[in-house]
Amino acid sequence: MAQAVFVTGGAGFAGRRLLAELRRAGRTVVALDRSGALADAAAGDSGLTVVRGDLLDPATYRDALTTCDTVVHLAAATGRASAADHFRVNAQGTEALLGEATRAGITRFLFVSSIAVTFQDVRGYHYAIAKQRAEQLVAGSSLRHVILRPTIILGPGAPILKALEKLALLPAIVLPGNGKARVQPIHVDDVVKSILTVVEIDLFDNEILDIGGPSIITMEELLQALRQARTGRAGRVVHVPLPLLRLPLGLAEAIGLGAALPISAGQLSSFRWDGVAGANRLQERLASGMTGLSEMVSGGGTAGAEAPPYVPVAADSPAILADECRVFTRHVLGRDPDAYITAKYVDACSTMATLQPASGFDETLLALARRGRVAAKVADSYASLLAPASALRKRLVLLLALLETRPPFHDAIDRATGGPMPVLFLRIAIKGAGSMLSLLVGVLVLVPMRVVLAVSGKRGR
Amino acid sequence: MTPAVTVIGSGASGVQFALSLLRKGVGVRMLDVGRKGRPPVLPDASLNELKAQLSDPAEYFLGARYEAALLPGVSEEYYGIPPSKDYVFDHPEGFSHASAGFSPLFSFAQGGLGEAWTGGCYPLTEAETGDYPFPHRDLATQYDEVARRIGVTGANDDLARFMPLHDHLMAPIELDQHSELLMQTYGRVRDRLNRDGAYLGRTRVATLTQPLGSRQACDHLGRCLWGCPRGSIYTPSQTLRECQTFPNFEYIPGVEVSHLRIGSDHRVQAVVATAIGTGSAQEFPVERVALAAGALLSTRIFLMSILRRTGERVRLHGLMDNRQVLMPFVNLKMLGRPFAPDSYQYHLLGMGFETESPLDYVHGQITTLKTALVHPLIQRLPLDLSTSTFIFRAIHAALGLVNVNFRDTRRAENYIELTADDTPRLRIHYQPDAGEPARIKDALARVRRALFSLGCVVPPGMVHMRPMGASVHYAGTVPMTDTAAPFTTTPDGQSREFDNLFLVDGATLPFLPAKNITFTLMANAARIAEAAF
Repeated sequence: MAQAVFVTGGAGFAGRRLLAELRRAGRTVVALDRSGALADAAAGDSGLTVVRGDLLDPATYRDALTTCDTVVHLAAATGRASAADHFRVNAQGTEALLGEATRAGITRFLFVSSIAVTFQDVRGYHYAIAKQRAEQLVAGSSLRHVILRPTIILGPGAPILKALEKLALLPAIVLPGNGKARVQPIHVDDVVKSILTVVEIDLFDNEILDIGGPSIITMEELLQALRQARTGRAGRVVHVPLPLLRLPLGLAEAIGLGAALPISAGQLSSFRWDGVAGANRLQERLASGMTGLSEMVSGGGTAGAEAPPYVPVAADSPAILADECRVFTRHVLGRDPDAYITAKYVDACSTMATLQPASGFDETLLALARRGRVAAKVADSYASLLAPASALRKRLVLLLALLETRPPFHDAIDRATGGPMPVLFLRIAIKGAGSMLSLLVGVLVLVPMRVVLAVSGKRGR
Repeated sequence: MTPAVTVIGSGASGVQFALSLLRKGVGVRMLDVGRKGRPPVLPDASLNELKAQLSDPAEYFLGARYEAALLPGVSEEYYGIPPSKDYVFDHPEGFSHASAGFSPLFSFAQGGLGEAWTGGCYPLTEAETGDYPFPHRDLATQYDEVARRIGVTGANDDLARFMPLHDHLMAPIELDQHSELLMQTYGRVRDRLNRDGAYLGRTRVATLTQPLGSRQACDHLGRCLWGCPRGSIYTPSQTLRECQTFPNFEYIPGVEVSHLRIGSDHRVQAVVATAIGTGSAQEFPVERVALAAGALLSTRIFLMSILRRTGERVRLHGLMDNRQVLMPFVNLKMLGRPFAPDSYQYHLLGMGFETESPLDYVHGQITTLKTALVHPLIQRLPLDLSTSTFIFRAIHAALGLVNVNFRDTRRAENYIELTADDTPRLRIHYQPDAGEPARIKDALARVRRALFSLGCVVPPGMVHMRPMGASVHYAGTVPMTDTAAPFTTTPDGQSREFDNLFLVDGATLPFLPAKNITFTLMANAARIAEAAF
């Protein structure tokens, strides 16, 4: 009996399709499952074994590896994970897996990297840096291996597609940078096919193979193609200079707000550098049968619609709202709310439609504000000027309204801030300066987020 | 037995009209939807005591569904209607209207819109009643009478040049610290202001400074906006209760009048109404009918009656309402001062501006901010709420608001009619006259100048022009005239279409000066009761 293929990242966008295709090809598969997302995937299929475990904890998959001869390493931290997480999962995780695979006598190791490692400059792009490190580890191992570097992966449900759609479907296309960076989108099924091909024809010759789709176009052309596919028309393009976006995003990450951001400074690199696949035998072999660009961009969207409707997340749980109430009350009055205020706040936020976020940006503001008193001040400063009708502002004002009906809180709202004029003005100036600083940080962090992530155009007020 | 007079509506006009008749021994039946509010809670508590003593204060102040919380992006007005006065503007099921350029408020409450007023009582001058088809003294006599009935406070001061004095004027309400300071400053800069045609003085309000009947004098609980538990601020339902002590009075609440059934002799034979709740139709035979449902609702009944009688959809021209512009200000000398939480909330001072034609008189009511909900204001500062709250506490006592009122005239382009639906609705069409922007701009500049002389600055971007309809001073759809014309009334409010029909509310006013009209409505209704019955 052929030895099994050990797959990491099987629950991901490409991973799920890979599992299915490997099984269709008659391969026995062992899938490492960190989150439990694959719990039901193996039901009724004796050829697929799901192992609960963590890449960084080899003990959890040590035994499973002994039944395998091939490893396909897809798992990765992507998107806006922190620099530390990128390094931990993508570099250290790969290192741990390599060590365990070597011990288990694995003979073939396929590592899925990214075309991003070829960008001319990856400074600040933690994902690409970690992938570079991982590639070095794979290349330096004693295992027979291959490194695949796919370009932008599209297809129904592609995570990147949603972000690109948002940019493409604003009243005008918002494009970070000059839009001249070249891309070579590849359909997810073709990525899976290339992995399968490597496994089937035993293409483990210790080399790096780029893999990209059938056409090379500019980023601007890609966004236009998306817009054309969704609305039937091309659109005007607004270019936003990259430095204008990169600095503030980097700053936000530096002060620990990275996880609240929907995009990282590093991800902007894709708008600057070419991400195209170099010629190689795998690419040549697959080129003729690849899915075309028009099909890649047509999937997943709602044809003809101006913009995809915003689907609100489920209302927050009472526990989250109670926590939010505490953070917000501290922000507004510098003290904790009592049980009455908390209960009222939770009730209002659970029942009033107007207090629910109306756009992705609304949600982001709330998520940022919830993180603590300082973050709340930053988000509130921004919202007071630039998003006055956001769910965050409405919730804060409602809280203020609740507080002023209830002793002892109303006293803290009514009591005069008095004193001799010079002292009073000084105190106001100091307070005002604090607020201005928060506003500055808020603008630096949130303006690019709003622009870049487009926040569903018309509704993202 | 059919009563001598059937009155439709229990608002300010209706109850004063009825009271005059009752005192003359005339039998009166009053038909009314008559929605009622809740009795006042904890009547002895001040506003802050109320916050402490209520188990669910947010429910009282903001409503069970937080509907009175003013959230950003939701409303343009500085203040909404508190939950305790919601009933004043509640509609019967199925009531709706179609309006363009006009945001009307309707009331089906016992006491009508006057249940939620702020008490301004401003007699019209002789010039202002120039178009009124009767001598000014006929109205002046009734101002005296109504003041005796409802209790009006005020002073013989610089504003008297714009508002004639009348009998039974009680001493004015004690000034708060901020208003006091404004008056002191006015004393110093008076000459300068007067040269610019600007005058400052006490407002005239129907708020008692001494007990009247069962009503108590204002003792500064600070609850005006939510409804005075002392009855110090006059409301028409108080007069209704007085009417109910007369044996010749019959009050029938819970019926919504749809139209008047007109006989072939051009006389009203019966009032057709539906019972609220059951929806069953009811007819009330009449001898004489007085429409007092408020200018808009009386007009609706009038139009419906014509439609039912002739199938004709008449368009009535000349609807009026006072434009109001709200101008907030900061009194620099009050910065950093505390305020007295227990004080009268409404306007204590008024501003009058002389104009070339006395008919263009511009009237301002000055409200200084004391105890009130402040979240609607704090959110307007373009800063985070922590900083806004801190700064607001420093300026709270220094804040004030001038409500600037403008006159309106009857113009053909403003009309009211019924829609062509199966159940016809009121359609109101309003557009301001071409001269309005210049008139407002000029007046606001004068208000600003006057405020500046008084040591106050107007923060930029805070001036708010209220939509037409917001002042709730509706008038002019079926005017009183000397010469007979279709869809007018005689000087005594008698319809020129239907002999036994009288219109005794704002519908008949031929001109609307820049003054709260309620006092005039009451006086005019009482005048008609005296003259025609």
